[in-house]
Amino acid sequence: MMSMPLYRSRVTRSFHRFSTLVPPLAFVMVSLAWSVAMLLYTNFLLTPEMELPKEIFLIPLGVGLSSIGRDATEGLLPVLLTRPLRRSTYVLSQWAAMGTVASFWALLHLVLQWGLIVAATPHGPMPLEVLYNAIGRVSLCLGMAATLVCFSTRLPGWGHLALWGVLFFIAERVLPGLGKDESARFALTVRQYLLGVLMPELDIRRTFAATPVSWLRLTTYFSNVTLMLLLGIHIFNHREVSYASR
Amino acid sequence: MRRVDPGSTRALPRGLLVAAVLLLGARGASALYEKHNPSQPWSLVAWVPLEQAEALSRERHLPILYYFSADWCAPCHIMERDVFNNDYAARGINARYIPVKLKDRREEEGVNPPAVQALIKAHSVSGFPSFAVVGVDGKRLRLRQGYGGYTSILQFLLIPTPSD
Repeated sequence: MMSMPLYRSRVTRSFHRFSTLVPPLAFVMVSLAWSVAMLLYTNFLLTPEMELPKEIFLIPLGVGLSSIGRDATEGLLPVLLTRPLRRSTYVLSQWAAMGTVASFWALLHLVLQWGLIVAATPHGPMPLEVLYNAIGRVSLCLGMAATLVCFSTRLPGWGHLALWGVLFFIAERVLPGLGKDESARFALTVRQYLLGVLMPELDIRRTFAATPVSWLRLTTYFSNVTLMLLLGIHIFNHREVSYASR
Repeated sequence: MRRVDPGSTRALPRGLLVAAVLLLGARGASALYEKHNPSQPWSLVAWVPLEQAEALSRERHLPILYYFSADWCAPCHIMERDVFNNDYAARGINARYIPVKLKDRREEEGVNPPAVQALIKAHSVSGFPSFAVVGVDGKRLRLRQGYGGYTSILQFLLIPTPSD
């Protein structure tokens, strides 16, 4: 289903390319620098806190700068597809690589934040809380990677990020306003589903640690991820790629 | 539609297709199930048993946050949904306090456990929800009665609000 050489090459490329190395690295550095600055400015009164998984959504977006659309724009797709490689294998390898790299940066950020909190305060967060946060971050990275790969199967260059941004704006700014009207309450339901596709995440406290276990949250997450991957593969299967097309 | 040879490079992966269909079905079934058996999230606030609170407070140098409520208290349920089930607020509480949840059982059982009743009397709790913040040295720092909204509670708990 997945090609290990392609997966490895995509993971390695993410760390060698300026456009995919700098954004997540910048996020991690700026976030920590801000925490340290606040700590020093307030004389250790404002202690840093672990960011919630959904607050690190910029990391998968930064890693997503390198995607199928980018390969198409750079003329790599016709070369890759001349090989006896299934298109689904290509899409799934892209997803796995993007998810892996984004998870790496998200977990690195978590470890550094944890270290800073432990160094700055007499106590640190509970290990269970850190574990739940880590699982949430990895699930968010893999989920967002599926959505971004799906969008990039059709859109050139960074169009998938633009589409994600527009949909996110609609979900966060437009739909809540519409939903305030009694006759348009469905807008809040649409918002919930849209965010579930744009930022799929497994919240352990609300899923496995809940009573009873929330199978709905679990199946919703995996269902959203598999549907986005299937849709991406379907779109890519119908895309004609030639040296003359972009 | 032209049939795609399953061995071709454009075939849909069957495993993924089957998984997607099964997951959709499971999603629908679990939605129906949870409609009648709603899931309660594990508390986002890390409540500490009363008997461990003082020791933890000294160990971690954090004040104790006593939260007084009752099962019959409707504003308590609204506040718990708005504040304690909110990721940001719960994270703020866990980082700044040793939170202890105390339930008044006089309506249901006639009396409270002695430790709970002693705290209710010590902090002059006459309504619910109520909060008392007690420092590491055992002295009361702040007291509050009533809900008053998400932002108001965060301000009382000294957690930065979005407007700050």
